[in-house]
Amino acid sequence: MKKEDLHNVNWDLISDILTDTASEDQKTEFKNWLAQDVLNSSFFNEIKEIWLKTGNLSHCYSSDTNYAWGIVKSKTIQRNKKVVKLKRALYWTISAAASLFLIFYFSKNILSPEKAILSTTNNSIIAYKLPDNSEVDLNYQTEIKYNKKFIRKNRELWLNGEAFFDVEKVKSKPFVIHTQQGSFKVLGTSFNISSYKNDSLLSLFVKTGEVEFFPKNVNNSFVVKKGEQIHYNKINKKLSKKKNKTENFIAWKTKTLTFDDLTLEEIAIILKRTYNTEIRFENENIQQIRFTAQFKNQSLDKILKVIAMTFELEIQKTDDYIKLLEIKHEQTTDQNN
Amino acid sequence: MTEKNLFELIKASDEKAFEILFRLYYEPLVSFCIKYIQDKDLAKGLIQEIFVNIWENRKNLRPQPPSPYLYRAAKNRCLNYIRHQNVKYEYHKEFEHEESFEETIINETSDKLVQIYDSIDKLPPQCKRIFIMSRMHGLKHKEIAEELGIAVKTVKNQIGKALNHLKNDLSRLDIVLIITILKLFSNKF
Repeated sequence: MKKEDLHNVNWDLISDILTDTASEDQKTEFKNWLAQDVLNSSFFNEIKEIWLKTGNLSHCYSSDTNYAWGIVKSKTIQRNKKVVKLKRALYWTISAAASLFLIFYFSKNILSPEKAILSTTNNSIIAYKLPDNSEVDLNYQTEIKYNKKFIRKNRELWLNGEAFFDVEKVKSKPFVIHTQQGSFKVLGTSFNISSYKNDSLLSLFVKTGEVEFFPKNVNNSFVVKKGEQIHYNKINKKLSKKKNKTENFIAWKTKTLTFDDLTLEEIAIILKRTYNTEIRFENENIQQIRFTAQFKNQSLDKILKVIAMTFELEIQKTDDYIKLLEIKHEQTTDQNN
Repeated sequence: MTEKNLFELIKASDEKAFEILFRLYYEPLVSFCIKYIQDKDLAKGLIQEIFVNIWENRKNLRPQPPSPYLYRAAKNRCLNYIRHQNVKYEYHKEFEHEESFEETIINETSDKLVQIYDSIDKLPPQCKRIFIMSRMHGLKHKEIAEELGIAVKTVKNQIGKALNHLKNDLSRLDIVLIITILKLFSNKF
């Protein structure tokens, strides 16, 4: 069929035929049109073939593919573009920041009293750089306060909750952290402190360097070295110390979990700290199952799925906790029959 | 643009070619992975990682047909994952030596699929949009008309226009052969 004949083609009819929505009358009309001319039917056959061929590409445009493409695009093509845009935006940011800083500086001096406060909620964690370039990551429901003369005087701050510190070494200026259960003194090191007001247990994990711990109302101090972890019970004032091979303790920050032949009970404690979600078990048999695996950047859901799949468990979610149960035997027999 | 030169184009940072590669292979690769790890979300994540990896290391890509490369990468990721997670998977050993059927099928047809995709991509924007809504998302003419605020007749005419464009663009392809192979292909996925 020549191009100039195209306006005679009844696309209304053809698209209804192709999508299978033609009425009886349309079908008769269509048959008549085909019979009119051999060219009509060969034209239609070609069109129909195109229709069939393109249908095999529908997966390229599915909502699943669109969604995943959005993710991959943001991690690949768009990532480079963002950098360029950032550079362009930098000039404006700097000038805006300069004026904001002035406002901030004055308001802080005039309006706020002695301390700067930083805090997180039930479902947020943040990373923050302190005025002396030391870095701190705050886990859920954590608050730190520090004196605004932080650098000039001594480096001193107050913590309630859990935080990971990477402390910049400054000679002759120790870095001191106060908590309800005691104080910590360091020079340049990185470590994790968990000291929530309502918890009777305080824990400290030292990643690099050394930390000196001064429990409250005790005339003694303890030096904790690289790779060591201590638990301190503020009620009976008992302190326990152990070597820690893995860094599960700071998984809330690193998102890397290593389970080396641990029981599910032990794993549940680690997961609670990391994802702020309680995990319970139907019975003690499940609690004592041992599991070995490593996860990087995985969600709690995925980790539980792998555990459940490995040991044939069932996952039950409630608003307050997640429960692991044995899959009922009756069900399995039913399925087999 | 053909399947054979997709990798070369991606190596030269061609974003369009990267998108075609992704859209063409993403879902088939996810279905392929599910046979190994049986967790759709996990499979999606693994496949997305493969594509991010390809883009990040595009400078090292060798010109080669993408299909065998992608399926091999997918299989390796799955097996690594299974080993890594220590999941006791009874078919694990069996899979390692199995030559998969999909690999050969995709190999024969995807060159044509790239051309079809490319032709659809070249349609005028509104025409392309209507055609995708109708053909790919299976929407009724009336639904498309309502969504876009245009007459049903316009929808049908645009679909006709799209088909006619595609017909002219693809006329050089051997249609009979493709239809046969595509039928095989569609049975698999």
